[in-house]
Amino acid sequence: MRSTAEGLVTPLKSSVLIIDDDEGMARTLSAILAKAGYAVSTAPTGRQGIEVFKTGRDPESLCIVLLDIRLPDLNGVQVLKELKKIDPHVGAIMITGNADMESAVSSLHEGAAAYVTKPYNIDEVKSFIQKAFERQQLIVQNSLLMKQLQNWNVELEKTIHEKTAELKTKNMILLEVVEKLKVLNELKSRFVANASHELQTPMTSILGFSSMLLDYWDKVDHTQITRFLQIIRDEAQRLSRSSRDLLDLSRIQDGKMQLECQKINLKDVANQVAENLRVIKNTVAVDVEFEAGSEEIWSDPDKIRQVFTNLMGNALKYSPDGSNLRVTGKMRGEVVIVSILDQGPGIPADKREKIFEPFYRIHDDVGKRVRGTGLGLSIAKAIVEAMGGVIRVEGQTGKGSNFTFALPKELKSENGNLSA
Amino acid sequence: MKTETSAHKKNSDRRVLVVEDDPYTNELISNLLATRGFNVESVGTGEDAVEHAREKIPDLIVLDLLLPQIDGWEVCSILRKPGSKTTKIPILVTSVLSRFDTILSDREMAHVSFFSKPFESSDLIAEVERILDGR
Repeated sequence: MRSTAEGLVTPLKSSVLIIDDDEGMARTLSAILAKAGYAVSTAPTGRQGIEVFKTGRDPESLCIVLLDIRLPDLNGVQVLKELKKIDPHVGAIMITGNADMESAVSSLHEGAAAYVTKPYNIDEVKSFIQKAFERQQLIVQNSLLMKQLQNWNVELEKTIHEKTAELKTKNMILLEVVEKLKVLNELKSRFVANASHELQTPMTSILGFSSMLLDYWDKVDHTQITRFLQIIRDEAQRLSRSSRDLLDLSRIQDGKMQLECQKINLKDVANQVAENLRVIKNTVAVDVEFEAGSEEIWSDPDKIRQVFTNLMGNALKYSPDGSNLRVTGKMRGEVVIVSILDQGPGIPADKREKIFEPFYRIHDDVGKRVRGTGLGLSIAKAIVEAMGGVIRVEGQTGKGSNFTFALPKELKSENGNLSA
Repeated sequence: MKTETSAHKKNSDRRVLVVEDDPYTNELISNLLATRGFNVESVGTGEDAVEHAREKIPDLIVLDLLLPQIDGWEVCSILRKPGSKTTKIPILVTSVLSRFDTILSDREMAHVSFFSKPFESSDLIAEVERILDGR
């Protein structure tokens, strides 16, 4: 019994159950075995023996059954079968007469550890019992080992399962991150390509027209010279606007925009912006209406003005001559909602997200004539969002656009880099 | 002076189509080629470019790459369709892109050359005349 399993096994008591209808014999055997240190119980019939084995047994002890093959109710082989149902590893020693040879052999087939023939030698019985106990102990230890092994297996499987699931989750997260990075990288590449195009196009005009004036000075007339110089000036201004807007946008997106907080009258801002924009286009009537209580907010005056300028400027560019541009404001709780409604060509539903992307332009007849930096709406969106607000556009193709933005009535420090 | 006059005379027989959506760049290239004596017409879209090329078979097309809807590559592809009258018109592709990545085949790219923007006026003229002189 010196095996690695020893540590797993609690020391077991040894008990013997004698099932024999010969009470004198049972009593004698019982006394001898008790003297030898076994806990002994007896049963005179097969059914009682089964009952004792089932209920009267100490579950902590190993039990060897001495089983008479001839019993008044059941025969020994039948009893053995029943005992095996209760404990498949039951250790049983059959007690047989000379005439029971056949039954004795079949009991061995049924799993009996041994058989002794009456009249038996008590030492032989003791020795069989001892062997049966050793065998039982081996079986118990073996099954404990098996159980331990199974537990380990289950634990191992569980661990593998958990680790696999963990890896799968991590892998999915990584894949998502990779996808996001890919998208970001693509956006960045597109932004750089667009920015480059936006800077190179006016540069083409400036370099081309100026070198043309130098190369062909004697071949161009006064009108052409004036026209070329005007284009050079326009394009230089456009270049300057583009680079300033690019810088603005990247500063806002990097969260480096400093916000101030002052009391502002939105209606006044809208009216002033409308007045300034008349220089660009004076054929569109601008109506400004703010609900009572929605005019005053606490926010950054320059940034608010820029949002109005960009959105109203964009709306004006696309507004046909003689049309109306309505700027309205209303209060909803702690939020002011401003709408800028034009009567221009409108924006198709599938382009509504895109128009806030840098350099995105809807190419229509109006779009070709409109020369902006392509960053106005992106900047407006970036500012509104940096202030903790939202912006979106609605309206149908052919029925005008409605740019709406919502701003907190009072700029909070968590909504931006509030200075002072 | 004498060579220039003869160049002008030669150039006036050469019909160049300028395809540019940016109005100032369009005006620049058209003016530059006209000043050099070329017979210049210009359009602002790929669709108009294809229509004009099929109808008038110009001697050269100066083609911007980034055009709305049908872009410069698609214009090349359409004009190079086997059997069409436009397969041999030289095309000078201009772009501010630093790389001219294309998925077009050799057939579609036949008689196509590249020119980067921005450019010096004399460089563009030199390139246009090099192509038309068959050098």
